Amino acid sequence: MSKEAIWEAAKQSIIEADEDMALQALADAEAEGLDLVDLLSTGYSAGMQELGDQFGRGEIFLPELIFATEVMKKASGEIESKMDMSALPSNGTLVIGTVEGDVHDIGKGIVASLVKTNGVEVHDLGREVPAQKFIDAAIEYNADFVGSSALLTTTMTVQKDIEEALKEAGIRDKVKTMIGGAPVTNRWAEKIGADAYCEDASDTVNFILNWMANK
Amino acid sequence: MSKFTHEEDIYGYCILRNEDLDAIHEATLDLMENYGLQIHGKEALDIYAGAGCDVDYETDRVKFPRNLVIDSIEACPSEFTLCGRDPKNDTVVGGKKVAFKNFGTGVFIIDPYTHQLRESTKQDLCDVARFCDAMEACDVFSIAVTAGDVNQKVRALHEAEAVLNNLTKNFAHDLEGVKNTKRFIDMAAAIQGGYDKLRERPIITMGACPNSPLEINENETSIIKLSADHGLPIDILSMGLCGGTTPATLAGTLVCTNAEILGGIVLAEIVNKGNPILYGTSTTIMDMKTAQSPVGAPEHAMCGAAVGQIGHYYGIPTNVGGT
Repeated sequence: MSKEAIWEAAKQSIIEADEDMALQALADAEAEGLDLVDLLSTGYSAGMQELGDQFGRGEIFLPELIFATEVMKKASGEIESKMDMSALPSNGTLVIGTVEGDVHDIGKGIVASLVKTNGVEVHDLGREVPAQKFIDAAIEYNADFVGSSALLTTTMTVQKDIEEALKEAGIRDKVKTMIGGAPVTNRWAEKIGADAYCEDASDTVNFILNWMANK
Repeated sequence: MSKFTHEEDIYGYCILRNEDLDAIHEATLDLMENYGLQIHGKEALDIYAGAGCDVDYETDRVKFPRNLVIDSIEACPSEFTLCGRDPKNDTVVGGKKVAFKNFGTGVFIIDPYTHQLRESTKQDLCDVARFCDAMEACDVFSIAVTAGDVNQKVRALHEAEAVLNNLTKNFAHDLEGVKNTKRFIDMAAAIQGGYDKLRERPIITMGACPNSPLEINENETSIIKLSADHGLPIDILSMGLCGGTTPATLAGTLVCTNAEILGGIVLAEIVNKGNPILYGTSTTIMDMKTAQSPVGAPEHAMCGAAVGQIGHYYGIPTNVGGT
């Protein structure tokens, strides 16, 4: 099988959320002695990017995206277990969580999932996360991105606290901050000095990838 | 309205047949008894255990004997009064009565004088409260716009001050944290002349929201307990998101949210048997295209209608989101 055919199959397997096809492509690549890390970052990932765009355009919906994400996780899991992943150019490290006082995490979960499948190292801190914990995690994981989600007008203020705490820790200029959640707006981002307001998972992925590409 | 009765007099939109109501109720009891809810807060878990629930302290899992749930439903008053500082502005809820509450909570306001879109302030809240107090169409008030210009740690108390000084109707507030909730109750008691007077004529309605699916957090159980200790009406409101946090089917969602709400009601009724309860819903779908949850979706109204019927069946006044 030619490399192009295998790469195309990998891409299609994600677009169609076909786990068997994905694993077959992996097996074919192995049989041909091809670079699996490259298969992940340019084969399967091309499928994720395509889907991300389609979701952004409203051509596919959440369930399709999540099914595909599951297949992507399976494929990347298989490859990670076989390979030395330090060869993989990482698309950065994201620390993400739902802020203190807030338990709404559906959106944040979708963002974390989608971002992870785009080759970004994701540390999901969960929900009800105090501002300081975002900072501690950013330092521990040497994060490039700090993302926070808030659903309540009353918990949005923690996103401001995160900005302050990053400054106090002296690492504000080492990270890009992204904020999201139902009451959150561009205006709020500007007001608190966050780097970006990300409306949804697609938006977040694009911001991260663009920033990493232009770094 | 008597308990566990099917209505015979629905002349308009009727989304649930009698057998649907029975099925939802039965499935809920089964779910609560055999699967259970995820409930947090040791104090609450102790209360549930003391009343006969099967409580697993390791996993925070509570299973409810069906009779306890049924008794709790029966204990809820089928009619009660949401009091205002001025008794002529009291609102009686129950049976087929319908009352209206303004919606909230905005973070922006269109300035009524300059027409500029800006962030809302405490003064705006004062003004809106006074406006709603004068409007016949509004029976009960909730925080229309947030006080964006005050110390956010005590924002809810500033908002309480703003509203209580400008409103003679019942005030349904939304607070997080037991500390602020206590202080809020103190404020209302001060106005009424003591906790007993507040219990007799509750000018405030408390609120607690379960976390779908099937979870009630410690903050909420604390607020339910505190409110029931003072005999205050509690709006236990679930906002399920079909396909997102609850099953994709409307029936599955109704069962899930019913279990959550009844879980909270059981706690309130154990603490204070006969405590006034509003069975609340703002359930809607998760729009799979945008991952948002539109309260303008038809399903939001359908679930509201279903909850209206469930409320009539259980004999518990309801609070549903309007579109």
